Amino acid sequence: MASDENPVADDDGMFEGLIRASGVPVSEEEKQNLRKAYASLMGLAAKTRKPGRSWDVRMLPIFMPKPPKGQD
Amino acid sequence: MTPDRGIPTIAEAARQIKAGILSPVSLTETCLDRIEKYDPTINAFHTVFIEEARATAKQAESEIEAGNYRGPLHGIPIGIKDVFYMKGYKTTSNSRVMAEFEADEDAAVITKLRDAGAILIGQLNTYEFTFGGRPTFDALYPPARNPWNIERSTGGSSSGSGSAVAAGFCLGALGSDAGGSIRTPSAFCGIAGMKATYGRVSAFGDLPLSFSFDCVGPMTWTSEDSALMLQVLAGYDERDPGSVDTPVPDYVGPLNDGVRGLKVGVIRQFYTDDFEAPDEIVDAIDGIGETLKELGATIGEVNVSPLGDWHAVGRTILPAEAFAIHEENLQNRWEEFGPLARNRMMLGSLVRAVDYIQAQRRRTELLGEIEAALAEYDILITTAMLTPQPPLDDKAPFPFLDVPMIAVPFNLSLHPVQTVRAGFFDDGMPIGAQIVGRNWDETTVLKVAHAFEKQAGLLNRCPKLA
Repeated sequence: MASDENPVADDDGMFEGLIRASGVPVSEEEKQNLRKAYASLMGLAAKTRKPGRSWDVRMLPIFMPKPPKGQD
Repeated sequence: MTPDRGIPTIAEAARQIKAGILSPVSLTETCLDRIEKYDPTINAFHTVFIEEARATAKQAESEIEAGNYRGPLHGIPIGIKDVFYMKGYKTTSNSRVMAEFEADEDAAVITKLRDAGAILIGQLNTYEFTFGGRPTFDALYPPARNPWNIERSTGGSSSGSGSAVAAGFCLGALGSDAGGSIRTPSAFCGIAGMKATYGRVSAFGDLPLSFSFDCVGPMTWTSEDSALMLQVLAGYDERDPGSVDTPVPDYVGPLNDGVRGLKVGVIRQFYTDDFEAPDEIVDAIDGIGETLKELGATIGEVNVSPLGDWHAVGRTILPAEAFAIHEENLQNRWEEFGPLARNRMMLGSLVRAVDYIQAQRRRTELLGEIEAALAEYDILITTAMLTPQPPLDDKAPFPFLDVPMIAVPFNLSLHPVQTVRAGFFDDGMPIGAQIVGRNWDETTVLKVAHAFEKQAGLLNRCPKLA
């Protein structure tokens, strides 16, 4: 169940599904550590959301700054 | 020569080599002697190219004697982080998964160093697949140790590069940086390091960690040396889709132009409000502003979104991209990864597409904040470390999740950053700072870094090796 503090995806079912979908043979012990880390990760993912964010805020289409002004 | 360092800086050596006072052969032998004597303790290198280095040094000497001096890196021993393709050698990224991988051509920066006449002296340790956070004991090679205190972390992932330069095993080293991997070990090991503007240095032949962030750059004792190395490394390369075709300016000529009239903004909130760094760090970073003010710069304070916001974006994007890059090996060769590296990468499988895209959109907003600050200021300054160097054997599996990463903001924003030594903790360990400039303006960044280093006089102290 998602908690009130973290509405993004901190959910046991989601976690299990994503691990299965990864196709990676994670051991039970490692899965327990990952479950805790997943909670932290989704806390971080929640922080990237911004209520009312404009549609105009896009991800960078390419990952490089443009050349300085005045150059082709 | 810096007292007790055992080797000259690149600038000093280049002047002497050009003048015929210093032999590349004897300089190389000095480095090899130091490696033989001290590296069994430090672990900076996993492979030393003894014969190739000697042959290249001899060739350099002959060329220079014949009047064919190629430039400031001619005859200079340089260490190579083991993430760069080197034809004829394995490139492992310190992973058993890559233990037998041999590229059939050199990385772009290796070609540039060879063309400049540099002596490639060996391959340097890194964290497995360069996924930072802390050293790994479960990878192909054991971790490098910090020459200032071998029980403390070098920082990473360019861990061997940081420790080799600090220990005086080579005059400069190649590093790569997707979340501070040049800047953190530079700070932890008390040296200088440059993450140039994204796209300035070709990443072709650099084993990737994050397509959005991967940068390649120099790690050196001084910022003057960083300028000399960057001058060789920078330039467009069509083989790297992130490389940008824009002129490379002169980084070395303006180094002594001074900082008078420059506007410098200090991002204090990162190390005071957003994270309560130790007083020694606060004093050291604030001290840079005071030093630059003495030199004629104007100092102000810059406020941006809390460090936690930058951290959240970086820590959502980076594991997702790392997992995508390594997915096939993680699925099929899981047991060959060290547990720490594979679990760090597995986090990326838990990032949904919507999480990744929202993080990239937040990145766009945050990038705009740095652009706005750099519209008002020529240079920004903040710390390169929030805590002292942790113990080498710290075993926290996911240290990068809960403690903010101070280097990440400028991976998100793409801007050029130079790490400089800013001071020392009471126990003698070095403190590093970040000097940030406008996109493509590494020249001003290096000029400010050089001016600070000369005025502050902090580079006279060296680690004592045993």
